[in-house]
Amino acid sequence: MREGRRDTTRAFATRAFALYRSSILICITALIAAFSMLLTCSRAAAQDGGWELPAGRIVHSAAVSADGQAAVVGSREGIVYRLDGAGKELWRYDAKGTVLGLGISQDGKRVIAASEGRKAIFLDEAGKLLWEKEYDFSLIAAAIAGDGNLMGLVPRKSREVWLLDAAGNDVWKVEYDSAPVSIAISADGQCVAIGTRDAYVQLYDKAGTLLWKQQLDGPVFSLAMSADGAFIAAGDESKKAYLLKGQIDAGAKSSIVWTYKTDASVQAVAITGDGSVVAVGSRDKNVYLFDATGKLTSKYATGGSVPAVALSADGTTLIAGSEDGKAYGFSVKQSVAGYAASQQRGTVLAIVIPLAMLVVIAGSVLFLRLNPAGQRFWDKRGAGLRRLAREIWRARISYLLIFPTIALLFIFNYYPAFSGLFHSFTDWKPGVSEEWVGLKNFEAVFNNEFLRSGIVNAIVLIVTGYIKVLTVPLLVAELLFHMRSTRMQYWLRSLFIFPIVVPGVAIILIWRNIFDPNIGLLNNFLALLGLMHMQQPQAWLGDPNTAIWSIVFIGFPFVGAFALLLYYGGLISIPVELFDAAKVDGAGGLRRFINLDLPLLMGQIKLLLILGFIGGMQEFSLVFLTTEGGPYNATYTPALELYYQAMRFSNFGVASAIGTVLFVVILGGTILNLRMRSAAEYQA
Amino acid sequence: MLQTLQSRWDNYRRSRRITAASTSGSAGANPVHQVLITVLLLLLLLLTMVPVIFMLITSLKNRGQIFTQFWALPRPPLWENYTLGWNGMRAYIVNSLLYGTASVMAVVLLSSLSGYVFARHRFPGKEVIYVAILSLLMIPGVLTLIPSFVLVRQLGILDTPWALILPWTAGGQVFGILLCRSFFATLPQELFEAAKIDGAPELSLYWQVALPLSLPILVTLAIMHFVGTYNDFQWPLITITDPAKQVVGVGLRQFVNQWGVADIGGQMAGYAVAVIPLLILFTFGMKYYIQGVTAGALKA
Repeated sequence: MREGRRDTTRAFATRAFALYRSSILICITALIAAFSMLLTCSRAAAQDGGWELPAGRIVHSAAVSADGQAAVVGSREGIVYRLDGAGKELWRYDAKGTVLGLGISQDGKRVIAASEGRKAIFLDEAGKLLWEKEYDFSLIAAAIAGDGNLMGLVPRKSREVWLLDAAGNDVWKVEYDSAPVSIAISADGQCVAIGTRDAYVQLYDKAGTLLWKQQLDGPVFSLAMSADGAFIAAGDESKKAYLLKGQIDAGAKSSIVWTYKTDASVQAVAITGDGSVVAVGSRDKNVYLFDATGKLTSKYATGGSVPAVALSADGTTLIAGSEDGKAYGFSVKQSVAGYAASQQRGTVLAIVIPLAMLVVIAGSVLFLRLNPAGQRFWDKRGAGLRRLAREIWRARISYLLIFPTIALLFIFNYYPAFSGLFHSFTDWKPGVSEEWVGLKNFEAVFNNEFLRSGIVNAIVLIVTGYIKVLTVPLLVAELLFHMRSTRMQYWLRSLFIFPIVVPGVAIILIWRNIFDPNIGLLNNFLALLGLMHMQQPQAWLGDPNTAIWSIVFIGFPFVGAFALLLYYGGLISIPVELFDAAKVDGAGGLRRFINLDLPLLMGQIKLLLILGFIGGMQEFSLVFLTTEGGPYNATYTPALELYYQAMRFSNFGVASAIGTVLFVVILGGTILNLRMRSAAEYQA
Repeated sequence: MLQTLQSRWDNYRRSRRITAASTSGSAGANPVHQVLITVLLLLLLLLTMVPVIFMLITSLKNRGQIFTQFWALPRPPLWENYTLGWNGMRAYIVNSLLYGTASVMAVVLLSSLSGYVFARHRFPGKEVIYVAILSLLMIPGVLTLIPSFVLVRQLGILDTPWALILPWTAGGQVFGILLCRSFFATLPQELFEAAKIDGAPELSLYWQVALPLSLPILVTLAIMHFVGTYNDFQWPLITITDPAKQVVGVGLRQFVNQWGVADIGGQMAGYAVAVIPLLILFTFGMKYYIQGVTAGALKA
């Protein structure tokens, strides 16, 4: 009997060991596969070779020389920046008015700028003014021939286009029924293309003779022409980018080679000298690159819509200007390669992962079958597996019914969560590249002064939130609970809950009005009491000393409907016998509250504290709608900085790292709180 | 759960009435105390209502009236502010109603279906999947905000209603499944047995037995989810840039920025107009909302 049992035990141990060994092997194989895949990915994604240059609030225009070594960008503030091939500023020129159009000659020695300040400005390579001309209209677009001897200007609202020579003398002009909005001149100076609001592209020779017209789908916001004028890139308000092919000799016809639809109106296009690469800037914040056949070869997301792109004639350099206030420079080749790699990686992953899993499964099956212990295990467990498979098949309807739920959760909840964790370790340029940078983002997070003041503010908000939620709603709930008149009680309870019909955003905006220095309720009230002179009003939200406390004050007197409902619900579910018992013991009023109500409401209190912590850590709309984080960094919160990092600065990796840090903090806080809760319950 | 809550509430009301009758003269019944309680509550109520009252009064004034007679009632009341407010907010409100309703219908359908399956079906891996779904409650919005934005952009649905409806629906399900599963688990097995014996196919058990019984809880879920979508601000802010497609939360901000300080009265009228949908909803559904809050709290 005892012997037999020992035998069984030993056999079991062997089997268990075999199982253990094989599972370890499988795990190691899978890990190695995963790591090697990750490594290849990050290596493929590396290399970007671009630069970024902050240039005012919006970069409205850009142009680049034939070899890509001389670039100019124009800003909202009216500054023309001259850059070298690496994006270094060489000089700047104040055009006194938003620079809406720029052109540079092929050798980079002549720059024409069209300013909203009703001026055309002609500069040489050192930034010296050669001439400037004042007009009656703002200028919205400019173009220059490759040798700098012919240039075109488009004025706003005048329905004319003016062509000038290098000395600034008028050469010819055309008039339209519909306002012209864009212009391009071929590098050889032989033809001029003009785009109008009524959706026509019209091509002229250098003398001003109309060669052909081509209609597009919307106002033609931008045009660019290859060196000989054979290819024209166009972008219009209908969100489309076009490549047109035009004949300029004898027959003079045109045709559309390809179109591409972006997510918003196309504001800028550029083309290389031979027409083999087209760059497109769209209101959807992306810069697109296409080859001659219209195949998307690269895509880059900036932080704002893209009113300017420029391509060097040799196709090496791409410059883009964005509403996020930055000029971007790219190496076309690297950008295309990076995009291809990132696209490829998706496909590779989609193939490699299932393949690797298959190999692992097949390997483990083989391992089990070839190994005597494994064989026994297989025989024994095989039955179980087959039974499981049968059960799964029998329950197929159940799986089918929950499939939509699971699919949605996978796409919109699980995937973003893992994507966020993963990308916090990368320099993430969505759709373009993701380079593994280790802990660099976290370094940036911990060195970010806005985030540090954000953490302090989050703590202030959480602690004051705790105080608010523990006092007034509890008091109101107790008072309501002790009312005798049930009708009164019902009405008061409903009225206290009533403010939840006002959308949260409206409440915050109303409070912003209450804090207004001049016409706000608070200052007027204080003036009424004689505590303030309206001649020297207090800017509650504008003063760094009071801003965060004003935000804390929002919602006064803090009868939160949610907390009130919870407390009240908790109070009415206390068995009446307990109250009676308390009364028999002679415990009334405060003593009953401390000894009976409070312990029985502990569950609600804990819940409110946890929710307050989670909510406070993620506070966004409260500060975004009142101060946007200001003055300076006085009212930043971590979630606000996360938003800015992603949406204003396009630092998706850093934003993900902030998200990851907050996630860890929130998870830690919640677990701590839950453990305290269970410990408290254990003691009780 | 809700049934027990309801019955507890009834019991409570009954017993309160009895004790109230039997224990006159105790502290709670002291008329002076009652007056004090009422006065204190009314004072707190007044303070709570200050922003709402301020909004309503200011919404009928123009800039001049606000500056010169801040404390006076609007004389004359400028009802045309409401025309302004309505014209400014109408499109946003319609959008909010459309997207919110679409998401509510999807959430109610998917949550009840999944809740039903998790409560009444048996299949391998059920508990693991359920716990995996519940674990999503631990994932804070800040972690998924940016990756979700990137995902939506890569799916090409940025700046379309789908960018709101799909993520709202996916996220709203988690609480819905929790609510529905615990409700369906309380339904007596005999109901389903009887229908099964009558030869009803599996889906009609859900459709004809479970759904009609769970109508109150589904209404609760629908109201909670709609209120959630109506109050959402951050997600529409980053995914919708076209003002014509924007919803109320961000719309309010755009509306204000558009008018600036020039027309506070019109702004306030706009806020007041934005209240209407929830006001109507709560007039009919306050009970369900309160049940939802309490039930959600008990589950958590």
